[in-house]
Amino acid sequence: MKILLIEDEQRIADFVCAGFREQHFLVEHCLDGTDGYARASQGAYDVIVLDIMLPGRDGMSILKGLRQAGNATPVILLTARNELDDRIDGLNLGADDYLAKPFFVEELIARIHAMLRRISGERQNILQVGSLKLDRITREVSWAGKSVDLTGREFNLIEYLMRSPGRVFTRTQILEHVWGYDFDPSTNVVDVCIQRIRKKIASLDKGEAEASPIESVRGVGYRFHKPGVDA
Amino acid sequence: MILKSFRLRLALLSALLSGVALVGFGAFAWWVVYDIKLRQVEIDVISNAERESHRMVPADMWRNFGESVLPRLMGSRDPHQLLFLVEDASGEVIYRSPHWPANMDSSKFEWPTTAQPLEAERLERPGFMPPPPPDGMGLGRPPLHPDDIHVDRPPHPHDFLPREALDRNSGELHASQLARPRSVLQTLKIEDTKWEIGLATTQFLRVAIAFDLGAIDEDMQLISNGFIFSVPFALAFIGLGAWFVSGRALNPVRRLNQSIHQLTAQGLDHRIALAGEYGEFAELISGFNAMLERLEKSFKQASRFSADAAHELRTPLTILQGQIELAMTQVEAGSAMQTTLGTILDEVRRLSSISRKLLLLSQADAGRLRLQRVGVNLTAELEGLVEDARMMAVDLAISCEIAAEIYIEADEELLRQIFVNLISNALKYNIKNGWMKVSARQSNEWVYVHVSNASDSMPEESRDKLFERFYRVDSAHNRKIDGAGLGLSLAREIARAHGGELNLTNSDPTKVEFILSLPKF
Repeated sequence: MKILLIEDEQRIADFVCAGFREQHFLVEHCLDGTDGYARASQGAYDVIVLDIMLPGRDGMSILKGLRQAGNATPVILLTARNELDDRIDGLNLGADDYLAKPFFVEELIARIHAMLRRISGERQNILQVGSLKLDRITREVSWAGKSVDLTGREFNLIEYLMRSPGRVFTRTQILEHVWGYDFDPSTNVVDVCIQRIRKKIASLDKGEAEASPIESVRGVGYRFHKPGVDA
Repeated sequence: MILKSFRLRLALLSALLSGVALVGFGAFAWWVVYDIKLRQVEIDVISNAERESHRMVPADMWRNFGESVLPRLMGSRDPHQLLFLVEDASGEVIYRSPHWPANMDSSKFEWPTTAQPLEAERLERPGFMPPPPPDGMGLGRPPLHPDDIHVDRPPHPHDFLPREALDRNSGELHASQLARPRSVLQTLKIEDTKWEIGLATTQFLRVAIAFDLGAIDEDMQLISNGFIFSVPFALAFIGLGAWFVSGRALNPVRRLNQSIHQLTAQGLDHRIALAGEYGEFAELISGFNAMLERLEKSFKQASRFSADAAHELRTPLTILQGQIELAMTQVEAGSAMQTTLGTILDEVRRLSSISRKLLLLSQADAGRLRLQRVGVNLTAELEGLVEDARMMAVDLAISCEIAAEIYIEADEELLRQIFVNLISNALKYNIKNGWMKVSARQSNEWVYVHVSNASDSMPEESRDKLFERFYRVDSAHNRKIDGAGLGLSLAREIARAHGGELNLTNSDPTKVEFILSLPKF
């Protein structure tokens, strides 16, 4: 996967690139709009991550130029200033998604995955880790072949964790991905929700020794159990 | 009663003041006219009395004089208002007006004492100098020696008059040879009628002319009647005039008033045009415009400050958050370092959330809160949030009454912000084992969402301040309950940006209830 990041703030670009590389994405980064537009219109990228405030040519103008030139590469906007206006204008100009600063790189990666799935015609709609299998289209979940009835939020939560088995997600990250940006960060809703998922899976599992797929990491958050690794 | 309308007060006040001035002026004029008339009567009665007492005419001539000439001289309309009396020196009546009142006794008049002898008078008064001695130029009769006139014993009129009549043609006995008459004025009241009486006395005659002062009173009555009749009209005219003039004068004030009412935070750039107002109002309007300008400037500054601050915070917050997130993946899972980083990350999120709300609020203040309206399934949205609430607060009795199939055209993200805020407040500020209720209903054009919860009696002043920024019910900036106190203020701004409203009902002290009303489209 080849991604073009156009972002003028080097320190932001640093951790975004680090996050992408960890996902084994190929990243190209450029610091100004003019250069960014040149590269975006020549190169073949799977995704362009575009900041709006840029020296040279700003993000909106790049997006407009690409779309007018018939370039349909998926674009995710990073908005900073005046975010609502940028969001509206950006979506009107043909951006595929947007993310407001400050953002989690994990969230950006999740959005890129979701966007690519959407564009590629849902090829990877089945996600399976260990005994847990979920279908992103029908939203059906099964644990060792037995169907698990999860609510929408529970499904979104477990899908988020399953994307990176073994990676620790903080409550705040989970909250932001599942419930949205402005949910009260001091709430215990994440913990309650995870307990409910565990209970639902455990109720299918009577007597069987297999551990819950969601592990608590004390003081930090949760992670999905990586098969073959002992907690 | 206090009159609230300045215009009405102005009209009434000018009418009152002009009324006082008119009545005062009228009273003064009335008095002056009365005085002049009285003086004229005094002069008339006394001068006529003097002149007539000086006249040497036969008795029947007096009758003629009294009944026709005198009224004409005095200008009296009614002969009954004028009395005429001629007596000889002894008090015997020579002529008396036929309508002389019976109870008017001439003997009680304060007749002046008899005139001085002619000689003395002549020496005193050059005007009464007799013609020079005839020196033979007289025709027959020698001039009458002063001694011929017996001062101490005035002749009987019947003696005197024929003799005078005889002498009349000769012209020798001139009136000037009589002593100058003594005269006096007397006012006498007889049965409601006030008489001004001029009394004149010569050696031979006593003449009284009485004028009925009722005649003056009648004239004065006419004048005051006219005045009383015209004053109300004048006052009404003045009042109406003041009403119209003040109405016109207050026109700029009305325009100013309209402009002030139309002013909102979004309309501070509005200015009132000057359109040929009077100087004072032009000054007021330009002062008002200057005030608006200062207000707009400081408002923009304040608004821009929070927008700028939020923007400037955005980049460092993004870097901070990204670096912490990256670091967390690089340290050992569950280590103390990861716990610390997680705590820091939560605080960074809190900072971001405050900064984002400030930005939204400053955009709302500046009227630049743009909405991305999409069709939102409000029923599903609210049911999801109620489900979350049940997960978050297991000790609370949470109920909901949400009508099915509520769809609304709104900015989904901002709308969620309102509900998240209302519901999380309802959970946070609840009591132990309390309750929370969410209900939603719709009409043809509006959607109403009620979010209520149990509360230990919230002080009245807290209710008033709930929508203020950075206000918190429990002692200020107590972090036990999370939140910056921006949520409700922002929620109200979002509701208003949608053309709706967010209100707190004030009915029950053990309950806090917010009502959000939003237009569907």
